[in-house]
Amino acid sequence: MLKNTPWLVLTALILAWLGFSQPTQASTNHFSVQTELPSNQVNKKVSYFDLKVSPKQNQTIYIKIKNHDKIAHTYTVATNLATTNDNGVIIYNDLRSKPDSSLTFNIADAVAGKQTVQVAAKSTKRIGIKLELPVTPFKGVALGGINIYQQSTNQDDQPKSGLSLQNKFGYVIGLQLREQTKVTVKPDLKLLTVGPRQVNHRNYVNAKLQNPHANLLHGLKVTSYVTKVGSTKQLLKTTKSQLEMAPNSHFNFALGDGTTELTAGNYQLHLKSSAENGAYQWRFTKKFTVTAAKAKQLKQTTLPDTMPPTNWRLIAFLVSIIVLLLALVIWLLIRHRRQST
Amino acid sequence: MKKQLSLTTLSALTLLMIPVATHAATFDGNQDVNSSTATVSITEDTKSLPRIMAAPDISFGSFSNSQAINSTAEKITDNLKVVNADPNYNWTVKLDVSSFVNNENSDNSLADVSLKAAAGTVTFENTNGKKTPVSSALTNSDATTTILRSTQGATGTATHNLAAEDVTLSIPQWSPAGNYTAQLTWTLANAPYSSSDDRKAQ
Repeated sequence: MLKNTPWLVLTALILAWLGFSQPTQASTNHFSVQTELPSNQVNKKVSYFDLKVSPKQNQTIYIKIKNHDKIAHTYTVATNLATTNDNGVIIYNDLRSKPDSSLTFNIADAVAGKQTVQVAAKSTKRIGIKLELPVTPFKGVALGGINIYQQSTNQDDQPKSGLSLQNKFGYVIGLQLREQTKVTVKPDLKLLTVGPRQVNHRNYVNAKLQNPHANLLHGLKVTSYVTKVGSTKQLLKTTKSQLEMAPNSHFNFALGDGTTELTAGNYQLHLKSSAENGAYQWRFTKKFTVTAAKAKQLKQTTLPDTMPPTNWRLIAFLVSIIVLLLALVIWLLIRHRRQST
Repeated sequence: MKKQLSLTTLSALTLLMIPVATHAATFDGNQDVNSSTATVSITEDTKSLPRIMAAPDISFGSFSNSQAINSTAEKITDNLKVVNADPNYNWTVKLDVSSFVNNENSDNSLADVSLKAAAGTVTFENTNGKKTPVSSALTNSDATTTILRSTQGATGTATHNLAAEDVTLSIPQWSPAGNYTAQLTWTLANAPYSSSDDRKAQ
């Protein structure tokens, strides 16, 4: 047994180092949702909630969850305020960010809290969601989303080896409230701040854009570049289209690909934007400064693009020693066997 | 002799452990071998409910943390598939990528990981003559991304096809070794700006 021990240990170590592929979670979804549109639905050609409401109004709206699976499942139903993320996408599950400073009515405050519901196998359950409108009227539209997610089962949560990706499924149903059938608030866009920003150890110039009004911005296109003050040379430029913004929200528009080093100096942002297929247009220029201290800090915390050189001398040295020791072990084993016989 | 042998063996093993200890990050791609079936069984509804039927299972190879990882997927099985029979249901599929959390200690997660995907291609089994849904690339996995967007009033089955070389995973060098899991949450959204034409319908 002693003779085989080094080889068994060596084999085990090699296998542990290489790792194995492991099976992941099933990729099939087993539930669906549906709305019951009430009589105060404004736009009857959509199937999300678009309701005309009045101050102090109380109402219960209904959705249905259908469980297509052979086993019962538990679902979470939660309504959140619509916000805009840094990809310029309207999201309905942001519970960390503070609402935009321009928001006067947070729809999440008017909707009952999170519910947990169980739906039996191969069946449908009707879920009521209570709305309670504030006394103070609001202009434009208030937008939120009803999020429905299936809770994980113990089987789903089994730990896997290596690096794995688990698929989860969910639904969002829009909940749009308005007190006037026709929304008269005109779209607007503001540039709040501009400056350097590091995300995941990559450096960008960040333009914080705000939709200060209670309506959605559709089909937003942003074309932007950065120059040194007094120069026309474009140091960074980024164009994105098909962006969207929730009512009374903001997001960070990132310029560059994260690889350009920002040296200390005075810069100027040039940004133009349009929405609704060019029906609304805005143009901004804003100066900003990167201080020497900030430039140093950004440089020190940037992820290196290139790997440090491999120490081949050390590797060769270690390999030589391993080979020598293995040869010694083999020689000793052979000599031990000869002496025994 | 036995003492000499043990000492020599121990020395050899100790040296062998050096590369193991420093290169032991085994990021193992996982492969779904589930026999998942995708069927629609609707009895009480008058029309099919819009639904995400399936999402891609993406697996990566095995990696050592001795160098930065910038790898395309090893294998992708299944595709993102959405069925919809309701012309009033204009949908988007949004993707959230969570951080890679250590399986043994959920307080630890990998930093600065990036998952990117090309826009891929979309095939559409159209049932009412409307245009094919439009796909978008995943360029920033730190924030929710709209992956697939229906066109106004389109009904049918949309399939979003991604090839293994379309998906890239980047992990910095010397990330701590261990077993990690990230969640890909695929959300079917039916909300304003599911189609910019919603306003025209009013």
